[in-house]
Amino acid sequence: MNTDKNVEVKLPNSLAALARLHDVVQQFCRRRSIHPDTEFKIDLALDEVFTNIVRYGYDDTHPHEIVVRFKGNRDSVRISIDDDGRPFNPLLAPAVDITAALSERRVGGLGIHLVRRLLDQVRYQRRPAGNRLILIKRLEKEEKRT
Amino acid sequence: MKVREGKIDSFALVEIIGRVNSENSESLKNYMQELGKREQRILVDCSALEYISSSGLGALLVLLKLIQEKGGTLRLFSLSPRITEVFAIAGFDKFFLIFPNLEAARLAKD
Repeated sequence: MNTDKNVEVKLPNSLAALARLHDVVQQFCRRRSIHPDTEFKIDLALDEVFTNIVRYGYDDTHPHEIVVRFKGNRDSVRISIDDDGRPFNPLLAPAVDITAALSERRVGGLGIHLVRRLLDQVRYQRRPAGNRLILIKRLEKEEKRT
Repeated sequence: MKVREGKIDSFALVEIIGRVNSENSESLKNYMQELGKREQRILVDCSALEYISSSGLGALLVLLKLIQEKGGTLRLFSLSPRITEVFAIAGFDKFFLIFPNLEAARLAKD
Protein backbone atom coordinates (compact mmCIF):
# COMPACT_ATOMS: atom_id res chain seq x y z
CA MET A 1 0.00 0.00 0.00
CA ASN A 2 1.27 3.45 -0.82
CA THR A 3 0.74 6.06 1.82
CA ASP A 4 1.93 9.61 1.50
CA LYS A 5 5.20 8.65 3.16
CA ASN A 6 5.88 5.16 1.93
CA VAL A 7 5.91 3.92 -1.62
CA GLU A 8 6.35 0.42 -2.92
CA VAL A 9 6.85 -0.55 -6.53
CA LYS A 10 7.24 -3.98 -8.10
CA LEU A 11 9.24 -4.05 -11.31
CA PRO A 12 10.13 -6.76 -13.80
CA ASN A 13 13.82 -7.62 -14.20
CA SER A 14 14.14 -5.65 -17.40
CA LEU A 15 16.09 -2.50 -18.17
CA ALA A 16 12.92 -1.20 -19.80
CA ALA A 17 11.56 -0.77 -16.26
CA LEU A 18 14.15 1.96 -15.55
CA ALA A 19 11.81 4.59 -16.94
CA ARG A 20 9.11 3.56 -14.48
CA LEU A 21 11.63 3.52 -11.63
CA HIS A 22 12.70 7.03 -12.57
CA ASP A 23 9.06 8.19 -12.52
CA VAL A 24 8.53 6.73 -9.06
CA VAL A 25 11.70 8.39 -7.70
CA GLN A 26 10.60 11.69 -9.18
CA GLN A 27 7.10 11.48 -7.71
CA PHE A 28 8.37 10.42 -4.29
CA CYS A 29 10.96 13.19 -4.13
CA ARG A 30 8.74 15.95 -5.45
CA ARG A 31 5.89 15.09 -3.11
CA ARG A 32 8.33 15.42 -0.25
CA SER A 33 9.99 18.60 -1.60
CA ILE A 34 13.35 16.89 -1.77
CA HIS A 35 15.94 19.03 -3.50
CA PRO A 36 16.48 18.18 -7.20
CA ASP A 37 20.20 17.58 -6.51
CA THR A 38 19.30 14.94 -3.93
CA GLU A 39 16.67 13.48 -6.25
CA PHE A 40 19.33 13.20 -8.95
CA LYS A 41 21.61 11.23 -6.62
CA ILE A 42 18.86 8.88 -5.48
CA ASP A 43 17.75 8.39 -9.09
CA LEU A 44 21.26 7.57 -10.27
CA ALA A 45 22.08 5.27 -7.35
CA LEU A 46 18.87 3.29 -7.80
CA ASP A 47 19.47 3.06 -11.55
CA GLU A 48 22.91 1.54 -10.89
CA VAL A 49 21.61 -0.95 -8.34
CA PHE A 50 18.66 -1.98 -10.50
CA THR A 51 20.86 -2.33 -13.59
CA ASN A 52 23.31 -4.56 -11.72
CA ILE A 53 20.51 -6.85 -10.56
CA VAL A 54 18.97 -7.11 -14.04
CA ARG A 55 22.29 -7.71 -15.76
CA TYR A 56 24.05 -10.00 -13.32
CA GLY A 57 21.57 -11.17 -10.71
CA TYR A 58 19.99 -14.20 -12.29
CA ASP A 59 21.14 -17.58 -13.48
CA ASP A 60 18.03 -18.18 -15.56
CA THR A 61 16.07 -16.27 -18.17
CA HIS A 62 12.70 -16.39 -16.38
CA PRO A 63 10.88 -13.23 -15.46
CA HIS A 64 11.57 -12.05 -11.90
CA GLU A 65 10.19 -9.34 -9.68
CA ILE A 66 12.30 -6.62 -8.07
CA VAL A 67 10.60 -4.79 -5.22
CA VAL A 68 11.65 -1.26 -4.37
CA ARG A 69 10.36 0.40 -1.20
CA PHE A 70 10.76 4.06 -0.36
CA LYS A 71 10.44 5.40 3.15
CA GLY A 72 10.98 8.92 4.19
CA ASN A 73 11.31 10.52 7.56
CA ARG A 74 12.31 13.94 8.72
CA ASP A 75 16.03 13.41 8.27
CA SER A 76 16.51 10.88 5.54
CA VAL A 77 15.18 8.72 2.77
CA ARG A 78 15.53 4.96 3.02
CA ILE A 79 15.15 2.75 -0.03
CA SER A 80 15.24 -1.02 -0.02
CA ILE A 81 15.63 -3.14 -3.13
CA ASP A 82 14.67 -6.80 -2.90
CA ASP A 83 15.46 -9.35 -5.56
CA ASP A 84 15.22 -13.14 -5.71
CA GLY A 85 18.46 -13.55 -7.63
CA ARG A 86 21.48 -15.53 -6.61
CA PRO A 87 23.23 -14.40 -3.44
CA PHE A 88 25.34 -11.41 -4.24
CA ASN A 89 26.67 -8.70 -1.99
CA PRO A 90 27.74 -5.83 -4.24
CA LEU A 91 29.54 -4.21 -1.32
CA LEU A 92 32.09 -7.02 -1.38
CA ALA A 93 32.88 -6.48 -5.06
CA PRO A 94 36.43 -5.24 -5.67
CA ALA A 95 36.65 -1.48 -5.40
CA VAL A 96 37.14 0.43 -8.58
CA ASP A 97 40.50 2.16 -8.84
CA ILE A 98 39.57 5.64 -9.92
CA THR A 99 43.22 6.66 -9.99
CA ALA A 100 44.09 4.04 -12.63
CA ALA A 101 45.41 5.18 -15.98
CA LEU A 102 42.96 5.53 -18.85
CA SER A 103 44.15 2.34 -20.52
CA GLU A 104 43.47 0.42 -17.31
CA ARG A 105 40.05 1.89 -16.65
CA ARG A 106 37.08 -0.43 -16.93
CA VAL A 107 33.45 0.43 -16.46
CA GLY A 108 32.76 -2.68 -14.37
CA GLY A 109 32.40 -1.80 -10.71
CA LEU A 110 31.89 1.87 -11.44
CA GLY A 111 28.15 1.64 -10.73
CA ILE A 112 28.53 0.49 -7.14
CA HIS A 113 31.30 3.04 -6.63
CA LEU A 114 28.87 5.79 -7.66
CA VAL A 115 26.19 4.34 -5.35
CA ARG A 116 28.53 4.44 -2.35
CA ARG A 117 29.65 7.97 -3.07
CA LEU A 118 26.25 9.45 -3.91
CA LEU A 119 24.53 8.10 -0.81
CA ASP A 120 25.29 8.18 2.89
CA GLN A 121 24.84 4.53 3.73
CA VAL A 122 24.51 1.28 1.79
CA ARG A 123 23.79 -1.99 3.56
CA TYR A 124 23.35 -5.52 2.30
CA GLN A 125 21.19 -8.25 3.80
CA ARG A 126 21.03 -11.80 2.59
CA ARG A 127 17.51 -13.04 3.12
CA PRO A 128 15.93 -16.46 2.63
CA ALA A 129 14.05 -15.16 -0.38
CA GLY A 130 16.99 -13.35 -1.95
CA ASN A 131 19.02 -10.17 -1.62
CA ARG A 132 18.13 -6.89 0.00
CA LEU A 133 20.11 -3.72 -0.48
CA ILE A 134 19.28 -0.74 1.70
CA LEU A 135 20.19 2.75 0.57
CA ILE A 136 20.06 5.72 2.88
CA LYS A 137 20.33 9.33 1.84
CA ARG A 138 20.38 12.01 4.49
CA LEU A 139 18.45 15.13 3.69
CA GLU A 140 19.93 18.58 3.78
CA LYS A 141 18.56 21.02 6.34
CA GLU A 142 16.26 22.82 3.95
CA GLU A 143 14.72 19.55 2.75
CA LYS A 144 13.84 18.28 6.19
CA ARG A 145 10.25 18.02 7.17
CA THR A 146 9.30 19.94 10.25
CA MET B 1 18.19 10.26 -25.26
CA LYS B 2 18.96 11.81 -28.59
CA VAL B 3 22.21 12.66 -30.34
CA ARG B 4 22.63 15.45 -32.86
CA GLU B 5 25.72 15.91 -34.93
CA GLY B 6 27.02 18.91 -36.84
CA LYS B 7 30.26 20.65 -37.74
CA ILE B 8 32.07 23.67 -36.37
CA ASP B 9 35.50 24.75 -37.62
CA SER B 10 37.55 21.59 -37.95
CA PHE B 11 35.45 19.74 -35.36
CA ALA B 12 32.58 17.33 -35.42
CA LEU B 13 30.09 18.82 -32.94
CA VAL B 14 28.04 16.23 -31.10
CA GLU B 15 25.17 17.06 -28.78
CA ILE B 16 23.90 14.47 -26.32
CA ILE B 17 20.37 15.28 -25.25
CA GLY B 18 18.30 13.91 -22.38
CA ARG B 19 18.93 10.92 -20.16
CA VAL B 20 21.54 8.23 -20.74
CA ASN B 21 20.88 5.10 -18.71
CA SER B 22 21.72 1.44 -19.12
CA GLU B 23 18.69 0.91 -21.33
CA ASN B 24 19.90 3.26 -24.06
CA SER B 25 23.65 3.38 -23.42
CA GLU B 26 24.31 0.51 -25.83
CA SER B 27 23.05 2.58 -28.75
CA LEU B 28 25.18 5.52 -27.56
CA LYS B 29 28.19 3.22 -27.35
CA ASN B 30 27.63 1.94 -30.89
CA TYR B 31 27.36 5.51 -32.11
CA MET B 32 30.53 6.54 -30.24
CA GLN B 33 32.44 3.62 -31.75
CA GLU B 34 31.42 4.66 -35.23
CA LEU B 35 32.13 8.35 -34.49
CA GLY B 36 35.53 7.60 -33.00
CA LYS B 37 36.59 5.70 -36.08
CA ARG B 38 35.33 8.32 -38.50
CA GLU B 39 36.38 11.59 -36.81
CA GLN B 40 39.66 13.02 -35.54
CA ARG B 41 38.52 16.15 -33.73
CA ILE B 42 35.34 16.12 -31.68
CA LEU B 43 33.49 18.53 -29.42
CA VAL B 44 30.72 17.11 -27.25
CA ASP B 45 27.99 19.49 -26.13
CA CYS B 46 26.59 18.33 -22.77
CA SER B 47 24.34 21.33 -22.14
CA ALA B 48 21.19 19.26 -22.69
CA LEU B 49 22.55 16.12 -21.03
CA GLU B 50 20.25 15.75 -18.02
CA TYR B 51 21.51 12.49 -16.63
CA ILE B 52 24.16 9.86 -17.23
CA SER B 53 24.72 6.53 -15.47
CA SER B 54 27.91 4.48 -15.38
CA SER B 55 26.99 2.68 -18.57
CA GLY B 56 26.73 6.02 -20.35
CA LEU B 57 30.11 7.01 -18.94
CA GLY B 58 31.38 3.77 -20.44
CA ALA B 59 30.22 4.89 -23.89
CA LEU B 60 32.18 8.14 -23.51
CA LEU B 61 35.22 6.18 -22.35
CA VAL B 62 35.06 4.09 -25.52
CA LEU B 63 35.11 7.26 -27.61
CA LEU B 64 38.00 8.77 -25.64
CA LYS B 65 40.15 5.67 -26.06
CA LEU B 66 39.53 5.56 -29.81
CA ILE B 67 40.41 9.24 -30.21
CA GLN B 68 43.51 9.06 -28.04
CA GLU B 69 44.79 6.00 -29.90
CA LYS B 70 44.94 8.00 -33.09
CA GLY B 71 46.17 11.22 -31.50
CA GLY B 72 42.92 13.08 -32.04
CA THR B 73 41.14 15.66 -29.91
CA LEU B 74 38.06 15.20 -27.76
CA ARG B 75 36.64 18.05 -25.71
CA LEU B 76 33.48 18.12 -23.62
CA PHE B 77 31.69 21.32 -22.69
CA SER B 78 28.71 22.75 -20.78
CA LEU B 79 28.35 19.95 -18.25
CA SER B 80 25.76 20.71 -15.58
CA PRO B 81 27.04 20.81 -11.98
CA ARG B 82 25.37 17.44 -11.32
CA ILE B 83 27.02 15.76 -14.30
CA THR B 84 30.31 17.42 -13.37
CA GLU B 85 30.04 15.80 -9.94
CA VAL B 86 29.38 12.38 -11.47
CA PHE B 87 32.49 12.78 -13.64
CA ALA B 88 34.53 13.74 -10.58
CA ILE B 89 33.27 10.80 -8.48
CA ALA B 90 34.05 8.43 -11.34
CA GLY B 91 37.52 9.95 -11.69
CA PHE B 92 36.74 10.81 -15.31
CA ASP B 93 37.59 14.47 -14.86
CA LYS B 94 41.27 13.45 -15.10
CA PHE B 95 40.86 11.88 -18.55
CA PHE B 96 38.45 14.17 -20.30
CA LEU B 97 39.16 17.74 -21.33
CA ILE B 98 36.17 19.64 -19.97
CA PHE B 99 35.36 23.24 -20.86
CA PRO B 100 32.72 25.64 -19.55
CA ASN B 101 31.21 26.43 -22.94
CA LEU B 102 31.49 26.00 -26.69
CA GLU B 103 33.73 29.01 -27.21
CA ALA B 104 36.27 27.81 -24.65
CA ALA B 105 36.23 24.30 -26.10
CA ARG B 106 36.53 25.50 -29.68
CA LEU B 107 39.36 27.97 -29.06
CA ALA B 108 41.47 25.84 -26.70
CA LYS B 109 44.96 24.95 -27.87
CA ASP B 110 45.75 21.31 -28.54
